[in-house]
Amino acid sequence: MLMSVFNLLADTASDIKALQDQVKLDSQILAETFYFWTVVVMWLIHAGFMAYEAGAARRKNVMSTAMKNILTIAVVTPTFYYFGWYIYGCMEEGWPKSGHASPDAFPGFCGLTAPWSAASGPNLQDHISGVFFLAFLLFSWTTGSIMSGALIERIRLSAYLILTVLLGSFVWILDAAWGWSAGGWLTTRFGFHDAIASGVVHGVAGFFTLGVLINLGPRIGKYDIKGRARTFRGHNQHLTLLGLMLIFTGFYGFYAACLVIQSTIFPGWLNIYLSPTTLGAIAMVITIGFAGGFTGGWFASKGDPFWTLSGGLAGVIAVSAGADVYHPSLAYLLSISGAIVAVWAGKFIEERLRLDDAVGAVAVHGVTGFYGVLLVGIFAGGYPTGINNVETSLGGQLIGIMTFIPLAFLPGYFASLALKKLNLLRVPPVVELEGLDMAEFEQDFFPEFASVRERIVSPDGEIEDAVPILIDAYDRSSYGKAPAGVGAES
Amino acid sequence: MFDAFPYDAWGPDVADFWAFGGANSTGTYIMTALGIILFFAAMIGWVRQETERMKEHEARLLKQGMLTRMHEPIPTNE
Repeated sequence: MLMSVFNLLADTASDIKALQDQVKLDSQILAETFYFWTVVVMWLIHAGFMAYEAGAARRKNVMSTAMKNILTIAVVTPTFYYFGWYIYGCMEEGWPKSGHASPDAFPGFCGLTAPWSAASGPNLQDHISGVFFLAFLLFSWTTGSIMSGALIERIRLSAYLILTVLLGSFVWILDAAWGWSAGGWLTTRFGFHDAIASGVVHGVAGFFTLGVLINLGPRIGKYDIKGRARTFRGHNQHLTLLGLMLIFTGFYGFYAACLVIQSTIFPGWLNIYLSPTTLGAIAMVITIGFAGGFTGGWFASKGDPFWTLSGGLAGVIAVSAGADVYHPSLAYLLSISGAIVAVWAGKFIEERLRLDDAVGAVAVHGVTGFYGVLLVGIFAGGYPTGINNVETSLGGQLIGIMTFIPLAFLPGYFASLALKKLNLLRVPPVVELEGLDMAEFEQDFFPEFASVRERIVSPDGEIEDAVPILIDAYDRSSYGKAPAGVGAES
Repeated sequence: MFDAFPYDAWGPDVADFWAFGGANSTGTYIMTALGIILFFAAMIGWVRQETERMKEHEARLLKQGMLTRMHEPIPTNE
């Protein structure tokens, strides 16, 4: 009798163990599937960036613009695999090391991020590392692509590729290690809180871009002799708006991928700092953030379609840092303010700083990104961030901002300065006038459509023939002094 | 209904198999080094190719009188 009871207990224990193993495996595969689909959805961000920027380009620069987005994938992927992931896994304490020991949130994580590690290969025991890497890789593409649109129509493709590798595989992932990980020194020491990457992705990409724009200079004809800004007419604004809508769709994948889930290890959804949240909470904030952003963008820009949709992006970016803790009502108000900030910043950058940011990336991503980080300090101060519950504070957020702005701006500025000194940054002026597509690909990409003369919007809002304006701008600029044969008959 | 795996459990030789060696092996180090070298070679190739292309195109435009051509319709493939 007693033996049969023992046998029954042994069988039951064995069944429970088998059940536990099965549940664990199912949980891992569920997490693996989840991250896989976030990656698929995030591809839409890049389809969107391509459409958005190509639509904003003039007809003569469409394919050269689109090709930048495509080749971002070609160069950021290997460099992030070889270097970027290791930076994220192993530099949480800063380099040189800050001296403030970070809690080891994921023991042994550093060793798993080397390209030759067991976690990087076809490891039957590891369902998570590969898809987790891919989610971060897609963040890296996004960061690199944010810069892309600002530089269109005059940067060399190869110069852009060098800069996007620096931004997408080194700069942003270093700041992510510091302030967007459970063990980063900004998190563990100052309670820095940027849950869905307002600052670490958008802000950093925007300020890196600012550094590049200073050296790159405006497109020929962008400013008149009084320094007033003209507006180039993108060849297809509908395509631009469609691109933005694709980016918005992809953002749902981005937001979801910023969370951590594995039910047999964690009690539920966690943010990147391993603090609890829910997928529903962040989905609510992103959705109402778009609504507020469109509204703010519309009114701040007086109904301009481009800035209305860009306002939606800015609205979401403004509430991303606190998306895990904001009430939707608060997110609505803050996203409206974020869009207004973006529109004002865009005008300031274009008209006062006279920097030719073709798509407003510095304003929408850079300024609004750090504005979003600041908002967390104001509206979510005291929230216990991370595994050791360090309180988020305005001071901590400011330290993060003061760390990230130079970390982003200086590499962008000096790398582009070096390329400029080597004459590798910008296409020759005559090539810019004719359009990059003919130089890069020797063809027009609308062969069955009749071409019309290029138009430009004057600072007074008049639509004018662009050709004499561009030629005049060329002659007045330092470019015009160089080749004596420009304009001569063949 | 398929409710059981009809084969023996995967052996360690299956689970551990990696092309060109396992994790932290010489083969994997070599593959990584080759990939990095290839990447930098591609970057140099992109820069050189574009530089040559730009120089040639610029020279052609200057010879043809670029600013005169700007008054003409954009050429098409046809």
